[in-house]
Amino acid sequence: MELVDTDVGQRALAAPSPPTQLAAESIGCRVPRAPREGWVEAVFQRACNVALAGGGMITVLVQNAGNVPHGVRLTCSPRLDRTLRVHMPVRLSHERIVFAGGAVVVRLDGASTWTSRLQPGLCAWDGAAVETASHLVRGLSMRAESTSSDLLRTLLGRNVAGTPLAKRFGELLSLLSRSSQSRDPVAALACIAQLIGLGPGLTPAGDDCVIGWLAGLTLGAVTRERLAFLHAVRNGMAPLHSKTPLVSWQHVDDARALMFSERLADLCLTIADGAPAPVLAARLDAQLAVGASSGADAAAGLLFALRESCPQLRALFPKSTH
Amino acid sequence: MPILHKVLPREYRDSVALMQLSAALAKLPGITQASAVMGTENNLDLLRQAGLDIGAVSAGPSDLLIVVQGDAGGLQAALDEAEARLSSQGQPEVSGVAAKLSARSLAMAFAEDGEANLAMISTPGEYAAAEALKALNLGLNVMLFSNNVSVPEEVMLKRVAREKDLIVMGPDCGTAIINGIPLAFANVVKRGPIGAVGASGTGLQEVTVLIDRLGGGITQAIGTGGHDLSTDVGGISMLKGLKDLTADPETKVIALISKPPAKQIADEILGKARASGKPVVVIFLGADAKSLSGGNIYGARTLEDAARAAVALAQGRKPEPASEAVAMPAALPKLAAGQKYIRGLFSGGTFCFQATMLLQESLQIHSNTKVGNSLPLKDMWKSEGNTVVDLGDDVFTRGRPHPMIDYRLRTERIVHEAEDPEMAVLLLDVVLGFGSNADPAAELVPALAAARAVAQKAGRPFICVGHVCGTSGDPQGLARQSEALQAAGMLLTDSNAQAVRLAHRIARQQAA
Repeated sequence: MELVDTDVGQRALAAPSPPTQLAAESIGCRVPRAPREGWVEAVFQRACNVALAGGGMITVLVQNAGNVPHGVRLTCSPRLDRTLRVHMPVRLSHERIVFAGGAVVVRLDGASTWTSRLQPGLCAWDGAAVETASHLVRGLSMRAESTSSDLLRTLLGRNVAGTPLAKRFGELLSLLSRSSQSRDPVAALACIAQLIGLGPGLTPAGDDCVIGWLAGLTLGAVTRERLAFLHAVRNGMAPLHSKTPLVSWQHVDDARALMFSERLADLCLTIADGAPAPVLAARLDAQLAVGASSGADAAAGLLFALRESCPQLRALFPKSTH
Repeated sequence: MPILHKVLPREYRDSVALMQLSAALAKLPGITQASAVMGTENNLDLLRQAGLDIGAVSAGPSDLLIVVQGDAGGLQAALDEAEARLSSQGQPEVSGVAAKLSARSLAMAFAEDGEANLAMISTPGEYAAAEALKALNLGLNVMLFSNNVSVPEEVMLKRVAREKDLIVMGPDCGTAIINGIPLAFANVVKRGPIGAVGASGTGLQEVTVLIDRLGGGITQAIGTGGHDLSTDVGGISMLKGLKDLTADPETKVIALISKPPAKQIADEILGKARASGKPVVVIFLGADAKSLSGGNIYGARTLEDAARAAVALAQGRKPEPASEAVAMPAALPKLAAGQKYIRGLFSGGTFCFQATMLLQESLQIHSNTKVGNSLPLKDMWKSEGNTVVDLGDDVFTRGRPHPMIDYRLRTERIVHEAEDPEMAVLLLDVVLGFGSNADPAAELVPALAAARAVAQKAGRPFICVGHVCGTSGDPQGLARQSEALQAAGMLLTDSNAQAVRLAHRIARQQAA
């Protein structure tokens, strides 16, 4: 029986003398490859956000986290918050990321480039794709109560105690539904401007929802009209960067570039492939495990987009949410 | 009403942490509303709509904003409390060069304290077996709290342990009391001459708690994990626990607790129990108690019967025949026409199992726990007919703590049940002790009040029966919890079995 040695990552940080050497397994396609200076903006147990001078952000992720387009994923899973600290200076070069003048170094030379494989118009809504998407609706319906996403419950017509935030989501989703059905980018952007930055946390639920919605639009952009709507919306979102935390905007900006996180892209591709229900369930669970509620909020946005682009799915939603 | 706010620049927290903070602040004395959000334009707009208008504010979208409204005297304290809670939520540790490295592996911890003889492992299931194996190789007994460990891994670990004369408690072992120290979900019980081995977590808690309340005490309470008595595993841990308790001079009486094992396993365990020479109380929930009894073996039907028999034997008395009588409370309101079903919402899996087992002797039960002829629920989130639900099921715990810790799902569902005109009696368990919610009554009392209001508005009484699994030594305070729940109208009994019987009697009276 093969057993996992969980001490590998810990040993890397437990080394008695600096510098701590870490290695990257993959580099997201939106990570700048030219030399840049920056600083540690935020540190969590499994991720470290580095703000870059002149704008933009990269995220260092531990090995067992999913890839993101602006992410550098390590070959191990150490507790990053035990070594890195906010405001540490950072220097990014082709070969390495150097923290605090060399106290921690992430080698990049052995890393592959990771890119999101989701492309516009991959889903032609044949029978298998519709079947897989219907499993997504059912899967999210079953899991909605066990997530922390008010947004998802709102979309599914579940009572979430009528909080002001849930009511606002309900109103905005209704408006966004009308604007996307009529392919009206101006009206859609007006809704998106009210969704970006809406929600309490570091990555507000409104941002995650918009990201998921863009992924769904990308998946279903099978006609010239739908593709034009998608491009008009994503281009029009650029001025919204000041409406949400910097960390969250980087994810939104990736989505604007039609680059999505690994787990969200995988979920979309599962639908496009018409994969069987167990595969969908595994990908859905992986997506829902992202963040505190971010994964579920993005899944809600995806579901919302699929409902608009695939009429056969609407029957699976409560009538009150149509 | 006065409002006070504070901006914490570049303070990053996730949505759930901030929602929990908001909820906690709103419960502080004198506070009517509280919100902790990132200072985005849309969040500020939402705050204004909610009546928390703080005017021009210097917060940007990457800053955390905390707003409280209420009595002027309490606002600053609430903001201070918010900051204290945020700073205790786990700021990154400072890794100074001179600082001592904290142990980051079992080997490092063992090197620091070579006297240790037990490792408690609580990692995600995929890593747990590897860690348990490391512990065994260090000569440590293992309490494996982790779930999602495969059966082949469990078998491998337990065989390795057996070769080394060690024990693996678990996987998915939620409770144990070793040398008087409660581990994981466990209660503060008196020391005494009774040793227990249990393959069901809350079953072991209930038996040890009732032994304490009946004046007895515990030497050791050894959990084995729920799969131990399967044919694959062969009861390795229960047999090891039985062997150790047999050899322990402090243990005068042994109690074995499990759901019914395979016959071959049961025979082996009963054989070893007979050979122990000590009185052994055996409860295989759902099995015929009489068929287990004979010689030094005393079969029990319910967890309460098992505790009573063990205490009697420890006091040198012969166990009395179990009584199933239950007294009806005085002045019970009459149920309305149509109120006929029992709805059990349990945080303890064994309580759900035992309730289903007892009720289905005369009722058709729907449950997410398969017991005898019980029917599955079409939708686990919705009751139908007589329903008994284990809220610790994976479906309910994905992404949230166990219901013995997090009462939110249950409190929401209590109110939903009260909306159903067919619900006659609500049946609950309340588990105290280490690991459980710090103040269950504070969670349940508002939900019971809301449920009562819903039912009464519809012209129906609201009847709730329950029991508290806890001792006077538990940190939550048994007396305080019981008083608060009784004041909220809960009809409290001494055990899960009694609560089930009372609920049944109330519902049956209506049917008659």
